[in-house]
Amino acid sequence: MEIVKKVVIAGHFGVGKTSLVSRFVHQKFSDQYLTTIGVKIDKKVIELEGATVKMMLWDIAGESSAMKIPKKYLAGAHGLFYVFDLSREETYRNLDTDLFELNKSLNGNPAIVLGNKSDLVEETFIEKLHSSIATDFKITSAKSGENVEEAFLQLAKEML
Amino acid sequence: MNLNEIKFRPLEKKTQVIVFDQKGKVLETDNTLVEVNPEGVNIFEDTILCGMEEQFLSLKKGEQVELDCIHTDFFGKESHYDFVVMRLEEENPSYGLVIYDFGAQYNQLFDLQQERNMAQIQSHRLERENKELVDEKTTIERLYNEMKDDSSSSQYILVKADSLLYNLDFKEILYLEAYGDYIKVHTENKVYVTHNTMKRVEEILPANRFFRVHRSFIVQLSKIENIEQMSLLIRGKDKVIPIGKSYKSILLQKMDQL
Repeated sequence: MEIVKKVVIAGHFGVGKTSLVSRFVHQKFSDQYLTTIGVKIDKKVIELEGATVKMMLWDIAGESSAMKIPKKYLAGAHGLFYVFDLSREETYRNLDTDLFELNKSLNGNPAIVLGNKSDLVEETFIEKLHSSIATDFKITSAKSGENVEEAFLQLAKEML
Repeated sequence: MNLNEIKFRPLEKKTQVIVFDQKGKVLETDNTLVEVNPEGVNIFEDTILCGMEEQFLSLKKGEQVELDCIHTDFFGKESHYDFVVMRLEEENPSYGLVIYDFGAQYNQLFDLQQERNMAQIQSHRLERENKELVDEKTTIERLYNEMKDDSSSSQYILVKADSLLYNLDFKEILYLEAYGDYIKVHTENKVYVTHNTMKRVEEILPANRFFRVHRSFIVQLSKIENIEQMSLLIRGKDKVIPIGKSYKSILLQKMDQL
């Protein structure tokens, strides 16, 4: 049985959304920053709990606020990743507001917050951030691959 | 409505039209951008419309959904496309998918956007580094002041007099007086005469405790009993010390006043 799921990846520009998708889909990483224009669509087929899940990954161009994301990109999303850069405070300063805005388009579908670029910050900083941010988030590094596969599999499970 | 009827629309040069049914089966295509073989191709399985059936099947005749600036591989050709899906017929529903290839235009936009994003990331980084530097400076200043306070409250100075080195606590020193090529160090109980200059001594003594009030006198500020017009009195002593004209205003600035 094949199940198709649309997954939206949102967040500020330069936080590593495209790199996370590239790591998950192609097992590749590049240090070069190339901005995304509009939306970049990739797909990855995974086997999960006896089902074939085709994940359509909508990697949306980074915006400084979720309010600026065109609603038509979010329409019909079965799940969402909100990505921020652990090393840039401005990318998670308005995390709650952004998530509130995005959740309006999700119709109760799951969303996972990812604190990316864990390779750039100290462990102690991450611990402090966990206690200062109310929203739960998962640590990832597209560069080292830390937690990337796990995050996508977790969202896939939550969408089933 | 068929493919030719859709084509009356003022379409761009790099445009392709695909007509498909409600199951996603390709009915017609003009293959102007990419080669699509209707046999074995399903729009809802093989394109970016995958997973969006519900959204399109709920369209009414004449309604359309526009998805612009989509970077994807479309039947083997990777580019930036705009997609428009419209419902063509109510009976035996059919749908039109118009694909516009805007690769060249979006590449120009990419250059601008890349520059803008890089500038903003750089600007935020500089802002953060600047804040960190200010915080660091504040911390260093605080530590320096704490260190200075600690050291000044317990610091000693060696004074060579009478062929001996006397270890004097700053707290003991009342004032210092120029005496030819020598300096007289006045303490509570004794005067030490040492070979030195006022300039050198002024540099050695902590500036927060000692101040040169005259070309021939340096006093410990905490030992001042009172200040008159052009002189001051040392606490517990009857010694009156002159204040040089050029030193007075700075002296008053250094001392807190009610």
